[in-house]
Amino acid sequence: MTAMQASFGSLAEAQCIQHLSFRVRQAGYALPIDLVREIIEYDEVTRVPMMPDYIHGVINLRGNVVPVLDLAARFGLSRTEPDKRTCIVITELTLEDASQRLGLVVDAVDAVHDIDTRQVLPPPPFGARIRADFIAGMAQQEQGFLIILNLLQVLSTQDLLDLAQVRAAD
Amino acid sequence: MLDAEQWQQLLQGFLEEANDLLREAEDCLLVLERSPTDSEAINALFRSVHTLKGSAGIFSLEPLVALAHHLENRLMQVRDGECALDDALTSLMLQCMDELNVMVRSIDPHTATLAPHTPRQAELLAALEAFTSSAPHAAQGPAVWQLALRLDAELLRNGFDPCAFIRYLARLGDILAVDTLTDALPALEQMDPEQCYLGFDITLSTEASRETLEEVFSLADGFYHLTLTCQTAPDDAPATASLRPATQTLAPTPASDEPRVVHTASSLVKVAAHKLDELINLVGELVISTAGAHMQAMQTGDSECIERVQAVHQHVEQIRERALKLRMVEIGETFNRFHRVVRDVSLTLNKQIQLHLHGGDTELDKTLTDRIADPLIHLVRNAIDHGIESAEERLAVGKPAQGNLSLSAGHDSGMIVLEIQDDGRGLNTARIREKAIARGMLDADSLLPDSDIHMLIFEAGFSTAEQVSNLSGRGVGMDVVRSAIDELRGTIEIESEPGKGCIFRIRLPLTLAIIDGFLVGAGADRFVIPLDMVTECMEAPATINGPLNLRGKPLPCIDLTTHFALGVPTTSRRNIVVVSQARQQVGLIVDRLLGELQTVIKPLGQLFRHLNGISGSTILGSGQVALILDIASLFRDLQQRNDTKHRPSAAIPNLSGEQTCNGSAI
Repeated sequence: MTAMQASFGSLAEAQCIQHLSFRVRQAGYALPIDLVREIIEYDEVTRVPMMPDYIHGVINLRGNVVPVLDLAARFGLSRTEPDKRTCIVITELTLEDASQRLGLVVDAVDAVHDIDTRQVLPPPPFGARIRADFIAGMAQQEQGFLIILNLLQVLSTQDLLDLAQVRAAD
Repeated sequence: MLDAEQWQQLLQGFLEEANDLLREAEDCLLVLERSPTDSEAINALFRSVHTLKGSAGIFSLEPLVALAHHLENRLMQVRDGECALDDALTSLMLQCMDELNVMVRSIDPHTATLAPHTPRQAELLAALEAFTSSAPHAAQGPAVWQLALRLDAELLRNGFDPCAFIRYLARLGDILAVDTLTDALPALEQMDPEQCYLGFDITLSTEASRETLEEVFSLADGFYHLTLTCQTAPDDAPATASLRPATQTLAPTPASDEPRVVHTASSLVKVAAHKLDELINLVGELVISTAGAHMQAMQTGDSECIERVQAVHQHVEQIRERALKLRMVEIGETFNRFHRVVRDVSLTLNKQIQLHLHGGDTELDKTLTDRIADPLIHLVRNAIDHGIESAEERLAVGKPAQGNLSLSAGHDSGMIVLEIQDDGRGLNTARIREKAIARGMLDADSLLPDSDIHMLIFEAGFSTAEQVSNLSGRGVGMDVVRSAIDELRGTIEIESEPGKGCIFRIRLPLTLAIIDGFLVGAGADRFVIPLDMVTECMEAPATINGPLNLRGKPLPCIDLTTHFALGVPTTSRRNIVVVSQARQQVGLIVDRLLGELQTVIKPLGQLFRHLNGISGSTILGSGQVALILDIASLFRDLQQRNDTKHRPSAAIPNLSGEQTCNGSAI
């Protein structure tokens, strides 16, 4: 829940926060816009060996090397096969006092919504399309619910560490 | 007046200066401890403390001034031979240095204020005072001094009032006579009221030493010329020999030593580290873009264009070298800290240890010196705690009671080599083995060479010390040392001889920012191997099973494509890049050799920090990202994979055949 607290807590006064919504396998997700740096086309990605499927690799973003994570694969779906509409959403967040950029592979970027923080519902304990701890909240829209992602949890390096240990034990 | 920003800068300057001065003072004190008669060291120490006091005075940092002042008084007595610098006094002075350090750190960088006296400071002041009273006072009556004071014309403009000095002198003793020299005074209409034309001849009866008298004027450094003559000097006053005859005319101030010193100082420029980093980052970008331009030029085939680009490339190369040199600092400064570490640790453990330093002028990247300091301190503590025996033990085995610890630095094939060597008991191989077996790190029947067993001490949670001291023995540490060194892309090895001592050898790259790399292709992917690890390249035989025979030595080979699961090789004619590190050698089987290139290292970040075998990435001229292989961790990874599969059976070199088949297939 830290991401939600981080993004909503300081803005308790201002009721509306802009969110960027995007699609992953027909489902709508959103992220607070202050976490999003830019959106780029899916271009050449250098793969990094021995990483889980959901890490596509790294890209050169104007001289900076930025890792790229496939949201679909992270949610347990099949790995994204890039097409013309596939985008990389470049996010920036602070991890262990260092600002870290990360690209998220999404199927399409939709729009920017104003989401009223008071209207955000807590994640359902089960029945959501993705792991409950990935969800910071649910925002109701005309076409259904947008899932606001808990980016820190999605990026949790603990999972990676576990994977690395499993690999070492093999 | 100074505006806020200038004030801020001044304060910042003071804080930096204070740290330097304290470090210098501590070094001097430790030199003195070993050779108490080193007059250069005592003078340097005195100067440092004095300068600190003076600078602190500008900011009215009263507690700091008070402590520095008392310290200075004691030092003065030591310098004048009125008091011996014994162990107790040295320890006390070191404690004072520590306290001064604490004070400097606690200065508020915005308001330049310091908390008032703490009990600790009062305690130290009292201790210093106690020393003063118990010290043998040189029994001497007041001496009569002749002070020939010649003042610079600029004195008044710089805000000094000669009267203040004379009044202060009166507090040190009785002024018997003041003779004002007015012969330089011009006619009234030509006189510049802001200029000082006066000189003074003062006769003073005082118990104060020559240095105290000189100190009185030091504030107006550079604006006066003073000649001191002692008329009834005590016999043992060492300074009388250097007396110069008092000049009676107002000679222009002769160039003293001071301006020269100032001059050397001003030829250095202090630059904020982040500005250098920005420059180096930009140079890195420049290297990448030049590589891109070069590639493009090669593709067009226009020889004129290629030539021009080549010229640019050469210049960029030179700029890169110079830029990297900017960050280079001598390791001596880091080394000097160890006098204190060794002193404190050996006192705690009651061992006699002599520290030897070699190669302090070896230069390496500032980041490296900063980040290697802690691992070094750890290794030094370990060497003293575990390595060097107690005096009785040493005497019993026929060694001199005093242990020797040496720290040295030097260059070796493009790397910096740091060695920590002790002449203690060496590593207890049997014990390490026992412990490793007990902890399940090692099979009881495994036959590892001693050097491999020694490396086990770098595993997490490993400690053989029977007793946990507050220095070491808790088994956290050696693995931290290794990971710190890994992070710096360095390696560590141990050379230990039972009963004779032990050497820890750390190899570090010269710099962290840019390396020379060797680009290879494996599958569709590209990798950069640090060039200094590459020893040779050769064509791979069609089939490889087991280690190759490389001039009579077995060469284990790994296929990068299979190791990293990159898919099928793109070519049937493959190549082997032989990489070596420390004493290990491995052949990496790759598809294509793509040549040397300048590699600007881009960190991969948190997400990839657990990745074995890859240390970072770089951007190629084409804009593509290539990964940099981390040979050290690749070796370890291979070792682990191998260990888990089966016990390493050393490959048996086959002298007749091209290949050996009975080795372990890695």
